[in-house]
Amino acid sequence: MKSISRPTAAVIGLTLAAAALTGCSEEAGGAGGGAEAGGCAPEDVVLVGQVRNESNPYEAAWLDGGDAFAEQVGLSQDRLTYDGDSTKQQEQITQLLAGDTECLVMNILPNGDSDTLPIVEGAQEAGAYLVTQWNKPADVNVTDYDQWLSHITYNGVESGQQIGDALAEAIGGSGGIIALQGILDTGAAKDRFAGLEASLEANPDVELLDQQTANFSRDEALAVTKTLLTKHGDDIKGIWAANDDMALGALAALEQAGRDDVAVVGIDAVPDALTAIGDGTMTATVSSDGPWQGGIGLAIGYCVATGELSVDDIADEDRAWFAEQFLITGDNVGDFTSPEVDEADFECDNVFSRSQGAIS
Amino acid sequence: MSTPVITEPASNPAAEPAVVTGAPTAAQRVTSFMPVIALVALLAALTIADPDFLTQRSLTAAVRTSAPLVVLAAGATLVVLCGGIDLSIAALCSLSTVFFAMWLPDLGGLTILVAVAAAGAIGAVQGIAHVVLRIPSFVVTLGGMSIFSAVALVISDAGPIRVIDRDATGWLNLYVAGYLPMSFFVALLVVAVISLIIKLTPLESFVRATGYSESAARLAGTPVDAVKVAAFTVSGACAGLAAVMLASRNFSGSPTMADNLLLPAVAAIVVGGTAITGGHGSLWRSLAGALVVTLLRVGLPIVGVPSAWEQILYGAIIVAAVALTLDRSKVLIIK
Repeated sequence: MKSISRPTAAVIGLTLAAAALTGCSEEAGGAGGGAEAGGCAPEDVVLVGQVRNESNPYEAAWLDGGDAFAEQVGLSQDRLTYDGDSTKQQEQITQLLAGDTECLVMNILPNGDSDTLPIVEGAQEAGAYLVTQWNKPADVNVTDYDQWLSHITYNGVESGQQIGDALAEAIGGSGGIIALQGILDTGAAKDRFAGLEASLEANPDVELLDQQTANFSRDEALAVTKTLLTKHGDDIKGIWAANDDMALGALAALEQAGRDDVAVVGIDAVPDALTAIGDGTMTATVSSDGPWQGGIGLAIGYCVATGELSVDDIADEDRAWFAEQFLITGDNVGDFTSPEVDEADFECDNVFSRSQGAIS
Repeated sequence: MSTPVITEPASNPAAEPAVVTGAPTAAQRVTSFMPVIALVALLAALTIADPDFLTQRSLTAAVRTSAPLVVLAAGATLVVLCGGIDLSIAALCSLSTVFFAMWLPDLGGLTILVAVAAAGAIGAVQGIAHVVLRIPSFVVTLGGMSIFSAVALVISDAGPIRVIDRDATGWLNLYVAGYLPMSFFVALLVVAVISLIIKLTPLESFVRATGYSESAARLAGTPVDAVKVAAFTVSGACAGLAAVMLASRNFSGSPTMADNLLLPAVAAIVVGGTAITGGHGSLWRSLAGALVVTLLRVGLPIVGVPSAWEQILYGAIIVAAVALTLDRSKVLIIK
């Protein structure tokens, strides 16, 4: 072991050899450029859907919607998940873009705002067709890129207001409510609470007794609600929660306190919340329609890849837009317990039909 | 696997159990190349699953992806060789991405060196706490992990910081000789330089002695404390360099960016065949281990393994790889 061992020598040799060949280049050799827009035969299109986790019912439903669209056009979808790990998401995308990208269509849920830009730049360089949903830094413009076809998200102010109004109606238009806020530095939490404030203005007899954050968490919501129930007692007629998990936590606290006269609303339409609405313990929630989200991103990419739609023809307000969301109450909960996609939504001249306007 | 099998090669009966003397036998040669064999076998399996995987572009992307993990694992390997463990590397790396993104507008190209130096200094502090206060490295770095995560969250306002000026790190996204990603080239250079320094100085025997038996090393006059502090310093500096690579790839620094790389880095070290108990192993083994782990992370989903099976396969392959690569003739106690 006195002399340099073979492995070390091999590594050093390799390094020196590479250094000798130095001549740095911007791109890896053999890297293919983008495809001619719209040059793909329908059977050559590769469809990829990527979400955080299949154990999350909403995201699993998203991928199922992608499968439904793929079946509609006679293809199959690659289902990718990254366990809510930003690094893993980037690694998967990099690897995906190193393959055949000529007719690659990606419908991606970025883990956070900061994860969107590297994905977009990668897709732009590789010539893959990309649609993103939910997360995008506000100062990045979709129109600056021609492979980033569209970004879809939902108007949190609107959903916060919808459930606020539903709550006001459920308590007869007057009385005290409490609000459970989400993680305070997220756009979703801020927007949804702004929606509640708008709803309160429209319903002057509804009084916001207290508002606390429970960080979108069921457990924290349970604890916070218990405290607030003790503090305000019977004055509380309704609970507004910024997502369903917190609403379900609040329901558990109400059950423990033996209260069944309090209306509870949330957002997201998770299965437990739908069950609660079905049996009358919860008042309302809002659905973004996960299966539609899974299909629509692939549909937009497919239409552009096959030439039925051209990027230049997509109006600027359809490049980054709010999609329609649905208020679910006891009246219509049956329509949402087993969501299905409508093939007509994915026709190329119909893909932007759910737009509620451009993201301002 | 709880009982180690101590078998002496028949051709080498006089050897001490824990020390190899004389020329290695054929079997020992095979064992020492096991990490590379595991790597090739995995690559072959992925290629069979999806023939498109074995293309030059795909491999280039995989080695580029592996660069931060290689650097992280290389630094931590030194600590493991000394018989310790550094659990703070991932959190320190995340913190360093935040440092890098925050300082870049003021310091420009110098930021890379400053971020690496800062991370190295933080590593040194942990090393000093470990040897002076005589706290186990596991505990010191567990505390460090928690502190670094919290500091990163506080100074970044719990959100990502965009890297607007890309000139300082643009060179990391170039390709050497057209094919080899610069970030991986830098990672190779780090492994080679550290290995070379260790080989050419008495450090090799210092590190091994400390790892195999610290008390014996002290009696023999080895500067155990200095060696350990140095190992933690290098580990910290490597976390800083990995942070520069991650920030240049994601165009941002974020307080949680590298947190999920801790277990892959530890997996890379053990898959390479470095004994987690210290003494036996090397940096080049961790290089091979990091490539195996990267191939598993990116390869399995890309060739179409369903996500539930992906986790099962990942775990099974890691355990199998360690079973193959660990040279039990050099490790007497398996904890």
